[in-house]
Parts: sequence; C-alpha cells; structure tokens
Amino acid sequence: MHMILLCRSLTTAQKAARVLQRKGIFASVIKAPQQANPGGCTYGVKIAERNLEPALKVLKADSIPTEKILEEPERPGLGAMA
Amino acid sequence: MIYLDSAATSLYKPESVLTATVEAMHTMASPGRGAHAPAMLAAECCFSCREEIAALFHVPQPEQVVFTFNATHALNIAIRSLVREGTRVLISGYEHNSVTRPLYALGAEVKILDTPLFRPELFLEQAEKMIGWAEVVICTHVSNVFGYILPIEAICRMCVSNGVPVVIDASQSAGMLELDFASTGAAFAAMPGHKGLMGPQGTGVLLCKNDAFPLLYGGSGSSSISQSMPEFLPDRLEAGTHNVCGIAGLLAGVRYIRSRGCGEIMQRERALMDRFVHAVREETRLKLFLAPDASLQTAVLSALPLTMEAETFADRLNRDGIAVRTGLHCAPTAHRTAGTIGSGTVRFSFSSFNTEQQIDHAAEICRKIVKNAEYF
Repeated sequence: MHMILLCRSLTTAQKAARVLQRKGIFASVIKAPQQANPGGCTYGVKIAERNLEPALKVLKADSIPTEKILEEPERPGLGAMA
Repeated sequence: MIYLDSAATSLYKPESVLTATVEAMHTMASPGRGAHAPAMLAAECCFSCREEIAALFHVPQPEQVVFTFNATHALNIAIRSLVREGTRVLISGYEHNSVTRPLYALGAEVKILDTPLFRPELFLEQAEKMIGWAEVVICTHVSNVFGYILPIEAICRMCVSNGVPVVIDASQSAGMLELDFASTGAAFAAMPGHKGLMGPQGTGVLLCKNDAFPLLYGGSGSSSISQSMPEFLPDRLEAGTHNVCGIAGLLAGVRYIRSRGCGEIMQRERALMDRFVHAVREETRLKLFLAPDASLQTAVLSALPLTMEAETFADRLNRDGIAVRTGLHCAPTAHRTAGTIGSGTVRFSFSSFNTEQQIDHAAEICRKIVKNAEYF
C-alpha cells in the first residue's frame, strides 16, 4: 500500500520528493485526488506505507511542510484520509 | 553579421539551449495544471531549473528562485514589494530604466550616487554618507552601458549592517561574475535569462530572500479555491502559464555555464575585448571608456567617435556587418553620471562565442570608418 503526503504546492512536493530520494526513500510526485483536496489543485508525494515514519522525520528535519496524509485510493475518487 | 551586442541579448547560444527549447515545445505541457505525463515533464524541467539556478547563485532553497519573463519584470516585483510613494530610495548612478521608471511611477524619493566611472572607492564613500537616509537601496552589479563592475558585495554589507533592504540588478553579471546571493544578504536579485545565462528571450529570474508582493494575479496551480495569491514562494509570484520552452532552454544554458564556469567565460570575453581594444586604441578619433583596472570592467565597451555622430558610426558598422547598439541604452541615468547624455555612446559587448577573426575584422572596420569620417 502507498501513502500520499499532500503538499501545499507542486514545488514543495518536488522538493520533498528530491529530499526523500536523496535519503534513499523512493518518492514520486503525483496530483492529489480531488476528493482529498477541497482547496483545489494540489500535489503530493507518493511513498510506500512502510516508509511513512522515516519519510516524515526526513521532511521535518528539512522543514518541508506537509498538509495531510492519506492512503492512495485503490480506485480513483475513493481516497481515504489517514 | 558579426554580433557584438550580447549585452542586449545573447544571440550566440550553446547548441543544447536550442535543442532543449525545441524539445520542450514537442513534449512539455504546463506544470502544476495536470497530472498527465507532459505536465509532469514540464514540472520536472521547471524544478530542475530552479535547482540549477539555486546552485549557481548559492540560494538556500529552490522555491526562492522565481521565474519571470525578463529582468524588468523581476525588478518590478522587487521594487513594488519594497517601495511606496515617498519611500527614500538610494540608487547607483548607473541604473537602467527598469529601475528608475518604476521608482518614478511609484513616486519614490530617489537619490543617486552619481560618482565617476570606474571609481568604486568614491562610490562607497558617498554611499557611506547617504546610507542613513535610505530606506531601500537598489544597485546594479554591472553597468549595461560601460561594463563598470560596482562593488556590490561591499554595498550589500553596508546595507545589511544598516538594516536597509537592497535589490541587486544582476542583468549584466549573471553567468559572467560570481554572485553568492545568500552571502550578500540582499532582499532580491533580478536577472534576465536571455543574456549571460544564455537562455531564450521571455525568461528571467528573481531571487528572493523572503516574501514579496505579487505583481500579477491569476492562476498559480495551487490553493485554487482561495481568491488570494498563495502565501508561499514561488507560487505567490508566478501567476499564469510559465514559458516552459524558455525555461527548458534556460535550464540548458545554466547547466552550460556551470559546466564551463563563470570565471572561464568572463576570461574569454575579456580577452576578446582586450584584443579589440588593442587593435583600435591607437585611433585617437575614437574615445574608449576603458577602466584603468581590468578588474573593474566586464566585456562591455562604450566608445565615442570624435569626428562623427555615434548614430552614424553605428549605422556604418551595421552596413558593414557589425551589430552594435548606440544611443542611451535605456540608461539615461548612467549617461548623465558619465557625462555622455548629449551624445550617447556606441556599445560593443562581446560574447565568449565571438571569434578572434570576428574581433579583428570588426576592429578593422572601426578604424576604416573613423579614418574616412569626412565622407559620412
């Protein structure tokens, strides 16, 4: 299973992904599911669930804010909040 | 055509810039708008460009690198973030209209450090006397007319120690002179992408230390529900669709510069200018505005023919295939300071892609034109 760390902007998501990849955590930038994002266009970083805790530590150490954390939906439009 | 107008825009560019620009036209859509491959490719390109520029200029975070459409756009953002009607602004005597016109439009109270050309010690002396009056300082790193390298690090130190925000106009230095943005403590540094950074026209960069006020309002690809521009960089200052093709070319240009090194590029350009100067300096009917110390001047050289109008000289050069710029160069302040407001100057600005043969030929044409001035 994968988790999506929602970010406030595409650039923040890209920066987060870069930082995580440099620390050996595979991360990819994706557009957040619409239901998870009432504020409009948002991007997030997709990581494996097992990497959630280390990823959050890495991002906190680099002062990269994340907005929300959700499980990647199995089907589009059915995202669940974590 | 021998192009000696690189201070206006870089006509000669690395092949990688052309390739990247055209490739982007075929493959990249708009970043931050969709989730499809062309949009994500565009996003990756833009972010990579921010990273490369951040590395080149020692900017702490890539989001502090804001894309603009040119240096004028960048300067307007910076100036409008710091200046209101009546704000006391200190500027160098060599500023471009992209600095002075916004200040005039805003009704700022402006004082000019109009010290002589190529005398940085006098510039700093006067700045020291006036810094207490200033609320904002704006200073060009290099004069677009004379290639005069101003003591930007010293000015920034002075401003920082006096708590005065400073804006650096790096239009004529970016890609040629080292600039450590973080160390300067400057609030902003503005530059075009299409001169020393060798990118396409329609690109520019604003380096931001902290926050800034938006100049344009519109879609940012983030926080769409809100009717205010986002609070965070770079989105706050980047409304509308990016010039993705331009940014792709700019990325290639910056990578080229980083691989070659600013120092090597500047060395090459100065060597070409020195070759030109050596070839024409015996011609007493051509006045050259040359720094007594080479470390005070980039490869931008203003000249004034003494037996004909500058416009006539430039026109003859153009007819003989030498591209230069003449007039006030959108910098009347610089000409007033240097005493050339009445005549303007003919500006030769050299690229590292010019060849020795081109320089020799251009010098020969200059000598011929000046020698035969009575026929024109």
